[in-house]
Amino acid sequence: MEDIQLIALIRDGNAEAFGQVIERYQSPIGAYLYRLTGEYETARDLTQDTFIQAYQSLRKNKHEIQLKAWLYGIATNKALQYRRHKKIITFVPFDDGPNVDLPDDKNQPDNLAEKIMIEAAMLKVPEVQRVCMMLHFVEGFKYREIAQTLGISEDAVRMRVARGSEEFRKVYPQGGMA
Amino acid sequence: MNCKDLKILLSACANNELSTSELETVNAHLADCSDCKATLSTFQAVRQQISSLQDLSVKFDIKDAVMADIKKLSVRSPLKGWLRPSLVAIPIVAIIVTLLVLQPWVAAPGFQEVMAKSYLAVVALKSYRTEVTYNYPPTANLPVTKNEVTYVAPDRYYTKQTEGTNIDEVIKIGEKVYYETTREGTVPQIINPDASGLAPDMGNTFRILNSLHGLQTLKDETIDGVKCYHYRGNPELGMDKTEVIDIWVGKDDNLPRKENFNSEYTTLFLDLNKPMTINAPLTAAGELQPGWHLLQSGPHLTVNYSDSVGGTDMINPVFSFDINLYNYGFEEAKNVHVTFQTMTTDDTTKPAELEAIPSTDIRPVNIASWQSMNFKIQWQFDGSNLSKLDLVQALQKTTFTVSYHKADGTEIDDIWPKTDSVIPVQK
Repeated sequence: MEDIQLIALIRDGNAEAFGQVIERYQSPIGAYLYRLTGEYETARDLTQDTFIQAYQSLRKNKHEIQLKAWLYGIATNKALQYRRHKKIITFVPFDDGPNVDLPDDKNQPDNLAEKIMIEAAMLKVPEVQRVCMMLHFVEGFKYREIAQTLGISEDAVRMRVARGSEEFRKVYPQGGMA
Repeated sequence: MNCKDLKILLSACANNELSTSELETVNAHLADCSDCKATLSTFQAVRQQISSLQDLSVKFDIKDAVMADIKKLSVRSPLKGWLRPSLVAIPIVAIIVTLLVLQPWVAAPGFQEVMAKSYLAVVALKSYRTEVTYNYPPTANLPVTKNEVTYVAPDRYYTKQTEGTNIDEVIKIGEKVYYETTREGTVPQIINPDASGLAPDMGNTFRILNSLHGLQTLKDETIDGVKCYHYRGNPELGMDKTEVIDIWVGKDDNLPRKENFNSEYTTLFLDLNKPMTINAPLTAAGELQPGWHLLQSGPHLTVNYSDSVGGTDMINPVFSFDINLYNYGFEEAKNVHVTFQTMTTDDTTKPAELEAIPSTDIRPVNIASWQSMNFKIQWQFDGSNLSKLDLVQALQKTTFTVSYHKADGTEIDDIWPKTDSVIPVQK
């Protein structure tokens, strides 16, 4: 079923249709939030919050939306809210840690190690820039789509990606960078 | 166009985000400029590196939890109660910065000067308390949560977080951090380094509030007996325009009195400049009071491990261990090793040392503050030549040591398990 049909069903009171929306987008939204926050438990909580708010908003508002971009917008806002309200102290039970699904190239630890270092370096890039970079480089959004999703100008997206790329280069100078 | 001006276009060029005319401009410049060619290749490398993260996914399955919450919502107010508790400590300066961002002087000429004075007054505060409460009805899954912070200049903080029946307290005096928690079965794996951000931190608060817009000046109100200005704004990225932040500032002293984020929390600012004391939780003898802990200085690794013993009997078992180390100290743990000492190897006459393998190939293994690292090890043991008693003893003698160095070169050896055997043994 297409997103637009699911939205119509949800607005018509069919809560189960929202289950399909969750199935479709929970992993990419969750991974996006994990990359923005760098914390697995936080990302899971924020992913839940994102979908709950999405459901509420879909029921309340009838305006036309592009579901995927709209969900990323809510998720971005949740991540920034989290930054504002970050816990002073967090107590967590011991468990097996993040359930990170490794790619097929498991036999390339160097490659994986590099990716982990890239993720760590990205967390040092200011968040407003990091948001735009993640949406573009990892989630595949065009600048125009990012501008619409975040409610900012396309020039602002260009600026943030460019400056964020320079910040990234400062904290991750490897890989034949100039 | 000079090279400096071209930088943003070069970034967009690397990302295939240029219009045809812009691309022509860039190409014309690149034909004669080797510096900009290098810059372009740098941006292309950044693109390639960050795009590689597309391959790394993280599994989430939150459908059941969300659907359960949605069902609960249908019997509650549709606008409230859907946010999980989030604990918050808001530097008092945040309010002033909010006002600077909202720029209420646009609506009320002359107010900029008041705000400047207000900022100076806040920075000069000798003491204050904040109380944060959350704006949703309590449920079993969403317990009432409250956060209190007390500050006494120049460097003393006390915070108490209440989440349902759980209470966490932190006292920070200079560089020393003490904590207490009522949570059973939990270990303080993460103690947010932003605890130091309890101090007025302009850089952080500017980032926090940089996204607000759409200021309104509302009617004056009285908060806690003080007549206040009342302002309202929206977070920039809020797709839902019902997200609103309200701020009240004392008209006489320009100090913040209250902040309200409509869907999330209300903060009260109390006892501004009133005499208060914050003391370390120590007994008269200088020892920690019961229940209190002192956060370690330097690196401090918590150890979390899981094990499995393969096979249906203990004669030829396969041992597998996953060890997670989390550094909640303030300093990087250097040259980290996890070494098993066991008799359960082919040579049962002397103990063997087996090195667990870290999840990175980068050597030496260093774990930065607030970061974690996983180690794995697996080995098989032929115990057919041993009596069952000897076998059990051999298993019980298995230990592992987490060793690492502090910045000053001091080596720390942490031997596990603390009690019982590292290997579960059926006697």
